[in-house]
Amino acid sequence: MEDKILKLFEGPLSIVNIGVDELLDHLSELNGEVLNVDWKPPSDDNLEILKKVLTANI
Amino acid sequence: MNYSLVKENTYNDSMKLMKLQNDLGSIEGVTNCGVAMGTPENIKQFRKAGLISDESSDLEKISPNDLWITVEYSTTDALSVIEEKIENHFNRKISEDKSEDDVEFTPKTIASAVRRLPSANLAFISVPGRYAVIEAIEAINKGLSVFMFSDNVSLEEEIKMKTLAEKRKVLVMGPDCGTAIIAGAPLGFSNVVRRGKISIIAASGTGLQEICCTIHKMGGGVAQAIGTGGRDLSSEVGGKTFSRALEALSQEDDTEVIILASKHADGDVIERIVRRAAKTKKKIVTCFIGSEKPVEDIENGVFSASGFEHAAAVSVALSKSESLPEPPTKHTLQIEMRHTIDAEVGRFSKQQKYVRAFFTGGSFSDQALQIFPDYLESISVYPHQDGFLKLVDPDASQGNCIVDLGDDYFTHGRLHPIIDPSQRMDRLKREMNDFSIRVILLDVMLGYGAHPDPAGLLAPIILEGKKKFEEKGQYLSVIVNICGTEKDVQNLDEQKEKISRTGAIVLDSSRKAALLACLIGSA
Amino acid sequence: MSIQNANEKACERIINSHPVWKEVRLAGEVIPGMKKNLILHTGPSIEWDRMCRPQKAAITAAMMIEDLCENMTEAEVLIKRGEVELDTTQNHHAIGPMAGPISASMAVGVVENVTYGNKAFAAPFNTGRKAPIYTGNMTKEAVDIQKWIADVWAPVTNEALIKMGGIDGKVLAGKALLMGDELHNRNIAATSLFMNEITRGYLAIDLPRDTLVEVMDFMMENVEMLWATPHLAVCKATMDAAHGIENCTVVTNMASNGVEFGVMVSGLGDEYFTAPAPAVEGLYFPGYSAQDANLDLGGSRIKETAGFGGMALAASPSMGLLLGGNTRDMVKHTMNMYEITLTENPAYQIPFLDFRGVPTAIDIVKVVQTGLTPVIDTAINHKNENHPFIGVGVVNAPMKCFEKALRSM
Repeated sequence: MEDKILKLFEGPLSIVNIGVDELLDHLSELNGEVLNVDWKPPSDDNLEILKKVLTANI
Repeated sequence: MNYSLVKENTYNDSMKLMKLQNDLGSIEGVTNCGVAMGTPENIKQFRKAGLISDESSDLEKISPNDLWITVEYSTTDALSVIEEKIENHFNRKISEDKSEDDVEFTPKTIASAVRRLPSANLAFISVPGRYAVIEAIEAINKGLSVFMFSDNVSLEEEIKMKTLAEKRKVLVMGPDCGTAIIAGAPLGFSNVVRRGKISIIAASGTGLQEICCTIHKMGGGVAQAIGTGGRDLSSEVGGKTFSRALEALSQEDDTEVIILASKHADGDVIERIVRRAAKTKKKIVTCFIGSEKPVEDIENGVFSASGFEHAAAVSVALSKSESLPEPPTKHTLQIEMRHTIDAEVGRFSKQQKYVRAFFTGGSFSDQALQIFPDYLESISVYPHQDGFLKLVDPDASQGNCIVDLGDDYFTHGRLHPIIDPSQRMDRLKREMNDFSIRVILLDVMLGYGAHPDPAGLLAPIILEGKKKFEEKGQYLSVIVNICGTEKDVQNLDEQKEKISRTGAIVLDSSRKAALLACLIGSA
Repeated sequence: MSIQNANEKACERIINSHPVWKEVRLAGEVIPGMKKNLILHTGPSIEWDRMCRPQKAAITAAMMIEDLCENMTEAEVLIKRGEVELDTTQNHHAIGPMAGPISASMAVGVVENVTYGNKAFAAPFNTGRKAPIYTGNMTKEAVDIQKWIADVWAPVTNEALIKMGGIDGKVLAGKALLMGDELHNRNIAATSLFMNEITRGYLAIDLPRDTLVEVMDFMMENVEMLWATPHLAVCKATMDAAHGIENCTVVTNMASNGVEFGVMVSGLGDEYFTAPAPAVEGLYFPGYSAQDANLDLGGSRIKETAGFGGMALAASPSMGLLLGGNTRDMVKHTMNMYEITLTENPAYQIPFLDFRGVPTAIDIVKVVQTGLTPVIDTAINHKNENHPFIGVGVVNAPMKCFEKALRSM
């Protein structure tokens, strides 16, 4: 079975960037593959239940 | 006069907010300003900064999803400039968007991003800490490894992420991971270094940076540099990322030497990892700061190093099949820098006693913590560590002290000092009125993510401080450890020049810098 | 089963579903649990006293079809006495447009999901410009048309369907999307395709010429929306196959009874998670305005649940004309819908997006996470009885429904 981590180390990196766009600007200059996500936070009221549901089976 | 604007349901990340705040603050006639999301903590901060009078009616309606801008200005001319700056800030986003004809839309989640970029193999997450686990789980479920720059993520959440990552066979670097170099791509705060045969797994970001820069300086090269976040080697997390990375590196063709670097690690966890490391065909160098005895198994190719610099030196030697360098001692430094030490020491007045360190990189703080107690007494430390004195007010130094300005207390609601030197500059200006100080010890981080000219900002302050002390018939000794390579965007030579022109001593090793500070400070 | 696995299973079920319109029959003959004195209305369940007026009128009209009463006052008495029972269409694998209703003597379309064997039912059939029972029209005209549909149109169409082996709802919908229908408010291409096929059926069974003309007349007058009702059953039959998977967070039903909007989730049982029905934002036909409007009403949100209508506006730039937006707005809506869905259905493609499949399988987690709720494009109902629908607009499913559902996981 293919080792995802070894493949990651082999590269090239193909990155989904979520949070601060500028942090990976230098990679775009280096012709790296970066796709920025237009992220907005979920409402704080829903944080707990979202986390509970997402981590339920871990 | 006050100008206030609330933009409802407008989210801007902290860097964009800082930029706008800085831009507004630099307008002539503006005396004070604040730009933030309308969360209760921010409102509190604004109040503290005097930006809110209690008559502010906007306050009641403001929600954490609203963007709030408030500007105090003293000249009527300023108003139109303020409005223009704000308009440009928000309109820039729109014009940056694609043209009318292009109906490509930016994805709003990691899941839809992966649909658009099926080759995606890494999620770089820098959202505020309390949201980070949600994004990470989505990424991991999609088969992406994660680089989590976000800090303030709970331990339980870290364990969940890493447990899931084990199941899906991907890697979680973080939380609070500042640095990595994967497949030759620099991530987070990182330096441009030669590619080569040495890989590093490290729990501390700036430590990882120093190791990489030192390897480069010594003629070696880096294969992979993996950050694991500071808690990975705790008993609770159990070294999940460390182990998995070790596993992968031991099978990676390019890697011949693997450095394992951390501090505050659980003994059992380290033992397990080292036992595993001993079984690989690769040569291993351990650098566990704060561990009581050296962690090694030479027969099985596991060598211990006493600090970042030594770890780099040993690994370079191993990669070239050369004989291993001796661990550095204080005597070597004493001999090497005898003239400098004498010159500095000779100029102190009797009142001057103390050594104060102000770091932007947490690892250098750790390094100093190992060295200072051998030479100095009554050391206060922030954040507090067992065996040291507590710094009662983190914003005010006392006696000998070590302050990590990258700690949450200082970075909460502000940019990290590596990105924005102004907080440290303010602190230094205050310190330089305390004539009981002998030595100020600083670090300067270069590379991606760091400020474009940290030395340029620091130099005038050092000069001013030295001048103040001179006027009082005293002498302020300043030691600066600059971490970077000649390939970094900031121009290493120029940065070194700017600092040394002030009379400060420039070094490129955190250990040497700490040691020198002690030798000069305790003589 | 983990949530991820459960969701994958649901997606698989939706995509592999194959809904075929097999029959037109009387509700009392085919709908499980149907009785002479049972009237089905669009859910979520709601007591008579709290119902909006159009729904009361629709129920009254159905009771008139069953010869149980002559007006709403009488209807109310019977209902309060328990002599006439009410239930939601959804509890019987059935769906109606707007208020419904469905009663035992009414003709219903029967769609079978051939892959999984489950059936779904839809009624009343659309009546074009003639009095529509589903908007709350309880005039004699509305009642008579439904009777005619049951007496004349239904048996003939049923025979034709059987002769043809049914009409493939999946293939037809796929073609219609390519032709600019979003299959909620715009059904003209779909209906035209249907008419092409059914005509062959009518010709193949031996119909007296008068009957053929009568039946074809009815359909020609109704060419814009006739497919709307069968498509309800196509969507319901599809989504029912994905319902009831443990730990699954996929939405399998959305509906509004004019007072409350409800969302049903695959892994959370047959309960609707409700919130007050929102007002529809849209354009009104001459003579009508927002003051006349009822809150959002309709069982047809099953279409959005299955990836059509408001989820697929990019397939239907013409909808922009009706909804008051331009083509880019239509595309923007659809792009947002990809953010809250788990997969794309390759059988239903949107040409403008390079034939990308419609956003399929709404995930309540994604809705709460992104703050984006499903977009529905819908007709606007009058708040009183005996009116046609008075406008067209868009509405967002209320976030509260999804938050409630998530908290029940």
